[in-house]
Amino acid sequence: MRKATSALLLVLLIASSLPWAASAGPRYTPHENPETAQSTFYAPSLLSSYSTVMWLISNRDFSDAESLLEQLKQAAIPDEIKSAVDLYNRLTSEVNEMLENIEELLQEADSLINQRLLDDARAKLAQAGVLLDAAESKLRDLTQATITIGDHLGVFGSAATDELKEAYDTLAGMLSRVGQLREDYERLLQELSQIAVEAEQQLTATSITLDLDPGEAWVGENINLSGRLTDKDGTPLVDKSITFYIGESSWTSTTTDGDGYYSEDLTVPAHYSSPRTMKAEYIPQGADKNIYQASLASQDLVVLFHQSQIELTDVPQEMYPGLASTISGRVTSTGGVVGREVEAFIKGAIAGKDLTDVEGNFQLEATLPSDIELGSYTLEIVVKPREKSAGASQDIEMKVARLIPEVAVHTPRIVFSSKSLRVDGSVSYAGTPISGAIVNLSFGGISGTTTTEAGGIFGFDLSVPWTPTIGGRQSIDVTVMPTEPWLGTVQARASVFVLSPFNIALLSAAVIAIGVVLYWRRRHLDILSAEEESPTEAVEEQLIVEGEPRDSKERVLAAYNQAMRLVQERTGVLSKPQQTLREYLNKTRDKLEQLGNSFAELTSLVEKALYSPSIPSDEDVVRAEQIAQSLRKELGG
Amino acid sequence: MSWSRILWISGVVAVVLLLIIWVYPNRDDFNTTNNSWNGTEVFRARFQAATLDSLTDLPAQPVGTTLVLISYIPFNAEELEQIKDYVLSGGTLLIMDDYGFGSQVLEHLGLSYGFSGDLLLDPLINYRNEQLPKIIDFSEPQLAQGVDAVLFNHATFLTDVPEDQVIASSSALSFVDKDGDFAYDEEVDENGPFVVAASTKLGQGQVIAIADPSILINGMIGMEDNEAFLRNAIGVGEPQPQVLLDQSHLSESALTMTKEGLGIARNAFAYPPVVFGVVGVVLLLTWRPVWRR
Repeated sequence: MRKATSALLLVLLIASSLPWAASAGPRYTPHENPETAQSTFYAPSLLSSYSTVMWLISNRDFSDAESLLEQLKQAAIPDEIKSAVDLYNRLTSEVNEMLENIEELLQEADSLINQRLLDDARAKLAQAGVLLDAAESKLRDLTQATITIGDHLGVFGSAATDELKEAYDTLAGMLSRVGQLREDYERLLQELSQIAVEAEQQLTATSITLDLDPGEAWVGENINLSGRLTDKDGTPLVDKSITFYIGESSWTSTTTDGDGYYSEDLTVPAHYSSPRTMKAEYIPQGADKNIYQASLASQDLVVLFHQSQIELTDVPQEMYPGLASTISGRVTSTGGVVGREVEAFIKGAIAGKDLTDVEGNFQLEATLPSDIELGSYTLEIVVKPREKSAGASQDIEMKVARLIPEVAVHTPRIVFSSKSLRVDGSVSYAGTPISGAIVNLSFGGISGTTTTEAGGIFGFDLSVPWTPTIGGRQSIDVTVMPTEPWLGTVQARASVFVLSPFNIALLSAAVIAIGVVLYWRRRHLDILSAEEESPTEAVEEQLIVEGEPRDSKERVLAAYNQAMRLVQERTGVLSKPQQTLREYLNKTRDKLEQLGNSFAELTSLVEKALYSPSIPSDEDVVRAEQIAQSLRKELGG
Repeated sequence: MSWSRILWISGVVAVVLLLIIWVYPNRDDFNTTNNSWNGTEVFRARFQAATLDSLTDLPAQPVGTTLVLISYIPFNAEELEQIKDYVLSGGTLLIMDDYGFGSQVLEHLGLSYGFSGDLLLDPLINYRNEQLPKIIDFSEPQLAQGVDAVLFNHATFLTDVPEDQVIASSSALSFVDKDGDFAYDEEVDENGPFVVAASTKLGQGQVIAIADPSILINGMIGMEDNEAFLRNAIGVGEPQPQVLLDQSHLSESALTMTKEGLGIARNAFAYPPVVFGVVGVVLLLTWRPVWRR
C-alpha cells in the first residue's frame, strides 16, 4: 500500500507541475501584454525633443522643425502636464512660423532692392518689422512656458536628476539660440532698410503708365497695351526695356520709343478668369541700375467668357481594370453645349471621352488600364474649354477593384478510394460564363490544371488517392484565375466523403474475427466453469455418499443430495465449492417459494448430521427422507 | 497492494493526466489556438486564416493567397526555395519579424534590406511605455488607407530599405537602444526615424516586411489601426486573399508538443492497422487467463 501511495503521489506531482513546466519553457518572442504594460514617462526625452526642435529652428530648418512638432503633438504625455505641453507646442509652432515668414520677407525685400523696386521692398521690410516684434513677444511667452514645463517636470525640485537638469539647460540654451536668430533678423532688417534708403537717395525715380484698349474683352480678342516711361521730372526714357505680365506670369517685352512710349497688342489668352491684372514693369538693366529706380504700372482687364458647368448623373463607385464603365452627365453653358469634348482622367492619363449632344448630354465609356493597381483613386471628368466657353471639371472618388466571379463545383457526395472521380464546375459572373480562365484543382495531394471552355465549364477526371482511413471527408480546392483583368482570382472548395473498401473489409473481418473469438472464448470459459462448478463437486466430500446409505447420517445426506439436485435443476443456481450449505439455501430459498421452508428444514437436518457431535435420530432421518420425497414430488424429479 | 493494482492506478492517473493536457489551454506565442493575449486566435478568426504546419503545404498556384510568416526558427535551404517559388509565382509574402530569422528569407529573396534585430524604443510617441512605439508616419498611401497609427510591441526596424519601398517609419523621436539601458545615449544609440515596414514587388508576387510580428497577437490586433494596416498589407496583391499563417517556425512549449503528440495519437486511431494492433494487444491480454489455464 505504501508503494502504491508513493507511486500515485509521484505521478500526481508530475501531473500538477506539467503545465507550469510547459509554460515556463525557454522562448524569445519579446512582447508584453499591452493591457498590463506599465506606464512610464521619461521627462528628459520630452525636453530633449524640444531642444531638437529649437536647434532646427535656430538653424533655419523650419520645415523639419514643424514636422517634428507635429509628431510631438502625438506624444504620450501624462494628463497632469498635457495642457502645459499643448501650450508649449502651440507657442513653438507659432514662433517657428513667424521666423520662417520673417526670413521669406527679408529675402523678398533683398531681391526687390536688387531690382530697384524700392517701394515694394519697403513694404516687405515693414511687414518683416511687424513680425519681428510679434516674434519677440512670442519668444518671451515661450521662455516663460519653458520655465512652467520645467516646473511641472520637477526640474527645480530637490529630487530632480542630473539628466533632467541637463536636458532642461540644453533646452534653455537652444531657446536662447532661437532668440539669437530673431536678433540676427532684426539686424538684417535694419541693414536692408538702410540700403533701401540709400538707394532711394542715390537713384532717380521713374514713372510708368499703362493703358488697356479696350479694358474689357472676350477670350481670343485682341487688346492693346500702351503707356509711357519717364523719370521723376517727366523726361521720357528712351529705348528702355518694358516687361509685360499677365497676372504673375511674364508674357513678353518691348522697348520704349524716342518719346518714351511703348505699345503692344495682346490676344486675350484662353484663361477663363476675370479680372486679370496686366502689368508693365521697368527694371533698370546694366549701367541704368546705378541711375534709375524701377517702376511698375498695372491695370485690371475684364475678361469675358461663357461659364460652363458639368453635372454628373451616373457615376460608378467602383471601377475595374480593363473594363469600361459608363459615366453620364450634362454640360451646361451660355456659350453653346453641342459638341463639347468631355474626357475622363485617372492619374493624369485619359480613360475615355465623348462629345456632348445638342442638349449637352454625354455618356462616356471610361476604361482603366489593365495593369492599374487596386485601391482608391480620383477620377476627373473634364469638359474642355472651347473658344469663348470656359471648361469645367468634377472629381469622382472611386475604388478600383476586381470583380469576383462565381464558381460552382459539382462532385459526387461519396467516392471510393482508388476509383475515378469526376469533378465538374462552371465559372460565371452575373450569369455570364467566363471562358478561358485557368482552373487549378488540388485534392488529396494530387493537383491538376485546366481552362474553362465556352460556357464557362470545366472538368477534371481524377483518380481518388488511396486513403489509409476507413473513410472521411476530403476537400477539393479549386482556384480560378480568369484572364480578364477586371476579374479577380477566386477559390472554391467542395468536399467528398472518401470510403476505402479495402479498409472497410479489413475492419469487418476484424470485427467478425473478434466476435467469433469472444463467442468461442465465452463458450470455453463456460465449459471450464461448468467443470469447476459441477454440483457433484459442490457438495464437498462430506456430502458424498457412495452406494447405499449405511447409517442414519448417510441417509440424511442422501436425502439432501437428492433434494439439492432437484433444487439446482429447478432454480438454475449451482452450488459452488466455496459455498456453505446455508449460503446455498439463502440463494435458492426465494426461488423455491413455499418449498423454500421445506428445503430450509432439510438443510438444518443435514447441517445437524454433518456438524453435530450426535448422530441423527430416526425421526430426523424419516423427516429428511419425507422432505426429499415431497420436494421430488413438487419439483417433478 | 499488488503490483497489478499499482499498474492499474498508474494507468488511470496517466489517462487523467493526458485529459488534463488535452484540455489545458495553449499559451504559446502566436499560436492560433491560444485565446490569451499573446495568441493569434483573433487574427485567425477575423482573417479566416488557414494554418500551415509545414511550408511544403504552400499552394502550387499561389495567386490570390498571402503567406504570413513569423520566423523564430531558422529556415532550411528547401524552405527558403519554397518561399521564393511561392513569391515568384504570384503569392504575397507578409514576413513579420523582430528578433528571429526573417533576414534569412529576405536575403534569399535577393532583397537589399533586412531586419536589424536591435530594440526600437520611442520614449514619447508610444502607448504606456517606450517599448510600445506608435507608428504614425506612412509613406505608401494604399497601405495607409484608413490607418492613422499602428502600435508595435518590442519591435525592431529594417535596415537599408530603398526609399521607394518604404511603407512606414518610426517617429523622429524614436531611437535604437544599442547599449540596452532603455535610455537615449547620444554617443551609443542611434536616433530615428527608422523604417519599420517595406514593400517590394518580386517576380509576379510581392513581399511586405514588417519589423514586429506582435501586431498580430490577440492583445494587439485591436490597438490603434493595427487590424486595418494588416488588412491593407494582406490584401495588397489581391482583394480578399486566402490567408495562410505559418506555424512551423514558432517556438513550441512542452505543453504544445505533448498536445501535438496526443493529436497524432488520436489521428493514428483513424488508421485500421493501428486499431487492429491495439485490438490484438487487448485480445492477448484478455486471453491470458485462458492460456494460463
